[in-house]
Amino acid sequence: MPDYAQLNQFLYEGNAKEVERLVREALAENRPVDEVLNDGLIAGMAVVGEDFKYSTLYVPEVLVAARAMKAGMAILKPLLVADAANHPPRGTLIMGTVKGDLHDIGKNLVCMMAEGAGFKVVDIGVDQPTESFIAAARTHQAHIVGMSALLTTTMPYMKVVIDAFQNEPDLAHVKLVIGGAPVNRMFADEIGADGYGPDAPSSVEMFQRFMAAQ
Amino acid sequence: MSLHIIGELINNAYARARRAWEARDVTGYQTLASLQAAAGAAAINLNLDGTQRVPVRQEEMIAFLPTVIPALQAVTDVPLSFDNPSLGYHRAAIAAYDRSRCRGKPILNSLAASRPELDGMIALIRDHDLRCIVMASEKFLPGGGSGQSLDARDSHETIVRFVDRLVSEANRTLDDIIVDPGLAPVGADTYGLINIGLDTMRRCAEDPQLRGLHFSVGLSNFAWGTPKGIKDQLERAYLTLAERAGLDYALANVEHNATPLPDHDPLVAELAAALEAGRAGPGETTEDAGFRQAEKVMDICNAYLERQEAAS
Repeated sequence: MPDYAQLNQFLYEGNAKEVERLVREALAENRPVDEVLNDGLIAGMAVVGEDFKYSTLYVPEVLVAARAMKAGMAILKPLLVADAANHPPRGTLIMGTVKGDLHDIGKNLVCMMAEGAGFKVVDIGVDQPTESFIAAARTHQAHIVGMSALLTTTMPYMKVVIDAFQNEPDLAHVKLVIGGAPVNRMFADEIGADGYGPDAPSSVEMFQRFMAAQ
Repeated sequence: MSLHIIGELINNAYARARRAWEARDVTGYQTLASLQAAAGAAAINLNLDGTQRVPVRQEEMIAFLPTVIPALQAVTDVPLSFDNPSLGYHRAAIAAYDRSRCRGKPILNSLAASRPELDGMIALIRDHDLRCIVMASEKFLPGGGSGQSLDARDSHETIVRFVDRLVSEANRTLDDIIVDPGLAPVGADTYGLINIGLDTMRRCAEDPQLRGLHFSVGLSNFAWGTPKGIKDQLERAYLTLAERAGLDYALANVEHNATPLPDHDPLVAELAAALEAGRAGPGETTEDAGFRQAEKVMDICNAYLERQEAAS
């Protein structure tokens, strides 16, 4: 039986080489890909997310852990893709910064942590109009669409996107969530967002709650 | 060359400013302005943006400007820097501002390629003889629109374009123009933005047509997400490196000793090495290099905090 606790620890410490080694060893022992992914990688990133949320871990450490996660995922991904029907992601998330806004550091952190939690993440980038969010949600059969804004002048565009989704009945099931420095829960409620993420770990917890409720 | 600080305490990210905003308490704002002026701020930034803790609408900010600006001017003659991306905010700010009570020109913060009302902003700068901050981290795309500038050459081009317009259309001298070359959190810099910013300043220093231009960064961005015990020192180490590249202004907290560390401080060399490690090599993505930079930064933090603990 692979030592998943050790794998979790290496991931937490950002030791990409050891994560790779233990993932390969687990596969060599014919452990199911799902098991390696869930017990080895996702469980490790869950601790990273929790410790980041409570300031036990700092941003650079989260990035280094994300790198280790990516190293492990690079080995598992071809196997997951080859047998996609049996290994669905935990959910599909579209992430983008809204039109007029070119800031994305917070968004990128959310993307990294959501990937670490087993989500398929489609990052459509910065300065994105309504049409891009809708097209991406449709193309990738998204469960959740996340919008980010840093500027007070661009955050109203989030409402434009949310209103536009109301005119797309085939996307009625998609959860629309927002985040960013000037955004808060009151604003989210006011514009009809399904959720608000104050930080990256809390955002991922919210995504997980949405998926659990489906 | 000495570093000029644009005081950033009037910003709802700070509790005192937030309390002042929630009560629309001009006395609270005056206290913040006075203490920054007393600490030697070259300008006082006026940012009324909302945060996660306090929601603020654009119209609320604009409505408050005629009250808060005269109140600030009643206690200090240090120029104000009006920090907002919209033309409406700047028009209202300038209308409320009494130039006769100010030593030096107020600052319009900021112009950027993505601003939809650039023409109006440049006209306002001309009509009211303002200084301005130009964001070099956004570039003009061929055929219209804007994008992130992820290369020092692009940032330099953006700067040249803005300088041309400001000189020819707004009668500005280079002394009126302060460029923000861009700054990312050092532990989450997956585009290499810190090096791009430093390289941009170096590139501009070599351009004789840009001699006299000023440079400023939003300093508190730099150490975001690092341990509390080292944040200030990391910022100061960055200032040392950035000053060498040409930085002469910083939007910063005057209460936090925002001065460059001495050249010989070990943290300066350590940070320089971490930033060099953050440059992408051949065949490498900037994300890979950013991860490596993050790792080095955390090593610096851990070593520094251990040294501090051993010394105490």
